[in-house]
Amino acid sequence: MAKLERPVDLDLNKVYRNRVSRLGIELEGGWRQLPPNTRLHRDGSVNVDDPAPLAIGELPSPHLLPSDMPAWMRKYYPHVVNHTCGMHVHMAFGTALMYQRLMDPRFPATVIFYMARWAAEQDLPEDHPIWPRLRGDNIYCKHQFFADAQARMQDKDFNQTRDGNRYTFINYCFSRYGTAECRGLPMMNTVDQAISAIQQLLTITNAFLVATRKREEKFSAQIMAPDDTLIEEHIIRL
Amino acid sequence: MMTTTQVLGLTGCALAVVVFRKECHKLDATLVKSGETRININISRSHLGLTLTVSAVPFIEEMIRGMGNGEILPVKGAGRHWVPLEPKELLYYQLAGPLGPVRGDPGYFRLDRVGMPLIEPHPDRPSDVLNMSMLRLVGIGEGPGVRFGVRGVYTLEGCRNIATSLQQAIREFYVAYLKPVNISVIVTTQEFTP
Repeated sequence: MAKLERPVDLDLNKVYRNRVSRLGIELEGGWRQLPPNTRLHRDGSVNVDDPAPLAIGELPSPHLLPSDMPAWMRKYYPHVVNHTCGMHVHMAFGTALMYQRLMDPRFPATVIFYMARWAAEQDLPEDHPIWPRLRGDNIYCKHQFFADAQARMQDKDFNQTRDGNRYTFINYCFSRYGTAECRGLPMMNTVDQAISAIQQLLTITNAFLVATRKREEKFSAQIMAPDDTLIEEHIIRL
Repeated sequence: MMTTTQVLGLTGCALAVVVFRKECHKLDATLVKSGETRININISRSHLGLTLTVSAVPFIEEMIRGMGNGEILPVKGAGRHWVPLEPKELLYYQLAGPLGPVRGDPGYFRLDRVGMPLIEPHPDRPSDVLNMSMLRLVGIGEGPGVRFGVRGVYTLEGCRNIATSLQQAIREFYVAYLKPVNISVIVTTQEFTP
């Protein structure tokens, strides 16, 4: 297990080429009325209430183009959310190389740093559920990095302490979904704020890929002939 | 002075077994120094996952072919994780029999997982197994060797660890099973005074 490294300096005012080919969003909360043809997944960690009856659980999106994300969010965002509701964002990329370049302990550190800046710019209050997640105080999005072990996991695992468990701020669930999952965002009080948070995450990701771009290292496993080739002569006396 | 002698020259795989009947005197040991690269594997991250280039001296490929039953098969029939990067098809030498994980130092390795990921969990132990089956590819002993892609994603540190582990495991395999050893055994019924 590795600790996160220092965040990379990014210029988020620039416009970057988008490298995220598809998005998957998991919304949690309560719905007073579900959109047509919608079925929620059960999630025992979601605990919301309202004077009106609610359908409570998790709603995963289909594979979305980043440009289609805002419209889908406005259509399906839950009516009631609180601190028990997380908003997980899965990002897929066009090549394995793009994905691998995010398998870098600086990436989650950079996401955390610039999401904290975004949260401050949004004037999110001190008791907003995003702050414990950004501080590393939430056990479902720990500030830890073990990307290689996570990328090999094919099964969903609820063990929170196993080496390679999925409960990190960025979870590299490549073998299971082909995505990198940001588990650090909570559900926001408004859908516009949630859309803004996801767009910030995409900007950070695209900017990180540009800022850390460099020629890939090559590694070599070389077996030379051993130092000596032995020629032995033995006498056996019967 | 020797009256009845039998000189047995044994050259080849170090798996050859010599049975000593009574006493054995080591007469001479000649060291021959050599710095030739016997096996080379280059690894880098690429758009597919990893790109590997495997090359070896021709006798290595001959030795590995000799460990099989002579059959040559397409890699795509064994697993979907290896992808050809050259116009010709990826082929491999079939093994003579089933194998499993082999315990090495420091970890386990195996040669019976052609077309599969480079690292997999051990079927019976809480550890990983390094896949060295690329040594069975047809053509590693010809020219620049064989270049192919392996699906999967790795950190840079992960790649470095794979290269280090491959170096250790292949060296161990080479010394144990492939390194040429010349042994001459002289069997005599009389005292032999050099």
